[in-house]
Amino acid sequence: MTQTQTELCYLTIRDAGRLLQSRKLSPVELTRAFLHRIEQLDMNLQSYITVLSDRALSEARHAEAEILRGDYRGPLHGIPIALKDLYDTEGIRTTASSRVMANRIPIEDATTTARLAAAGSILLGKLAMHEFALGGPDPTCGFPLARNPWNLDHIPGGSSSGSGAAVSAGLCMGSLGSCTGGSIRGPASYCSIVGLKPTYGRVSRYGVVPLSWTLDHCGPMTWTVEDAAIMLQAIAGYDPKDPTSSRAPVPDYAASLVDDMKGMTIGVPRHFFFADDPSINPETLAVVETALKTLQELGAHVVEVKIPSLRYAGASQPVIMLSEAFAYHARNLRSKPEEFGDMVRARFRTGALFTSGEYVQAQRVRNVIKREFANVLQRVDLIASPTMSNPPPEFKSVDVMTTARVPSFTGPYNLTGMPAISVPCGFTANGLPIGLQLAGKPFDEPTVLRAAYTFQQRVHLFEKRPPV
Amino acid sequence: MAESEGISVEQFGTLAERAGLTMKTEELTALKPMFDYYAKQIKLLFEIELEAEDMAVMYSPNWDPQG
Repeated sequence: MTQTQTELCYLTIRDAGRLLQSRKLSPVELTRAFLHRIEQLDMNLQSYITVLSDRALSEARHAEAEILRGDYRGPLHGIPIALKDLYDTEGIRTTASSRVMANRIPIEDATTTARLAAAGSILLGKLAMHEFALGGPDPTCGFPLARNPWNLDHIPGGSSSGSGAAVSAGLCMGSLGSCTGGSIRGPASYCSIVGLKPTYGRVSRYGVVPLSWTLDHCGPMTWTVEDAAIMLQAIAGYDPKDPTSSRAPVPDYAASLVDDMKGMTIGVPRHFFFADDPSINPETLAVVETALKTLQELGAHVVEVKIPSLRYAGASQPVIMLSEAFAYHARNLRSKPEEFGDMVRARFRTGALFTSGEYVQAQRVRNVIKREFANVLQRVDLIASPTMSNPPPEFKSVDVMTTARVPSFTGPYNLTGMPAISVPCGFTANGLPIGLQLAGKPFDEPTVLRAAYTFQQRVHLFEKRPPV
Repeated sequence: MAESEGISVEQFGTLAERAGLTMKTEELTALKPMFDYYAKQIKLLFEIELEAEDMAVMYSPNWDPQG
């Protein structure tokens, strides 16, 4: 890679967009730089399942022609992105990283895929993920396992593993992840990028391979908060094809990017996220404590809040998720179980063993959790915590029970449907990334983005790229 | 599941069969620790006094936190 090509791949969407709009940069030149970088680096990172070189260059030439004749579509026009391989792409294999769907070619785009294309983005390819957005980094799934660009021996998180790795390593400018219990924010935290899970109903799930209908969310994964706002703007809004899609108006997210959070009140449920629990990593807590002090220095009031029902979130979320997942996969699990990887097959099978009463109870407990959060959100603007309870583990230490053994700090917001973002806030002594999670009121993505943007402008971690 | 914690592998196999899953003994043995783990978790869900709490399977896209 020449210095110039690397610099192009490390541009933010916002900065590249300005250069493209002013015709100082060609979409073709930019796309070529990314394709070259993927060719050079992805043999180690394994973040892509499918690279669409010819198609991407064709789209880039089309974008270039449009921009040259004055038909500029907006800040994503000519921007190279990539999608987690569960977003349907018309005519392009979409596998969900599973042999079960190894040869599946969708006949239409997901709504989000289509909206990003309409915004003029260039699709570089489809990204690695944990099998069916659940399985973990499972070598038996038959697909590549993306690696963490900050340390290849460590996992990049999941299930949007390729999205986290590719954005972090400069192999695409932005991506879409999907999130049922933390699959956007987790890899964002582990790869030192930004991951936004919007409010349930804010972004269409149509054409995205489901894991759990009542918990699934779609959202952007980017290098900066500003870029996440740009991508969210393109994909948010009502979709008649998704029965849970909201008709709430879509605000101008760029307008929320004000470098000022004076007067905001941020609640911290210390009893849960900072509990005296040996399964929570002390170094993570120390780094996030420093981040909370930074939020105070920026003018926010940081107060302790209590959400007693949080202790039930770790029981409620997997019962709902695995029950719904089993319902979707039951036919294949019974007829061709050998096509699933070992991890996901075991976890989906567990979903078959919950009783209907247990599923209903989990949903009722979910209601209590939602109500307690709603009550607290009448007094605070945001809730802050570490994104993950531990830094990214090594591949060799991961097994089918890894995610169950440590507390999930992201799952509660899949239960409540609240918007939540992970923004990089520091590193361990070993150089592994740590993320700060900020969650807000339903449909109040602007406040979430504003706080994360202000924080990111202060800590400037976006200047530090992984050693790839 | 919660009431079934501590069951034998054979009994576990019967449960799996009832759910339509055909598994070899080694698969049952490998899966049972996860089953036992979730059984303990589920007990927690029944500790909480929910009275007539609604089920709310579907999240309302227009949920009002003030409401």
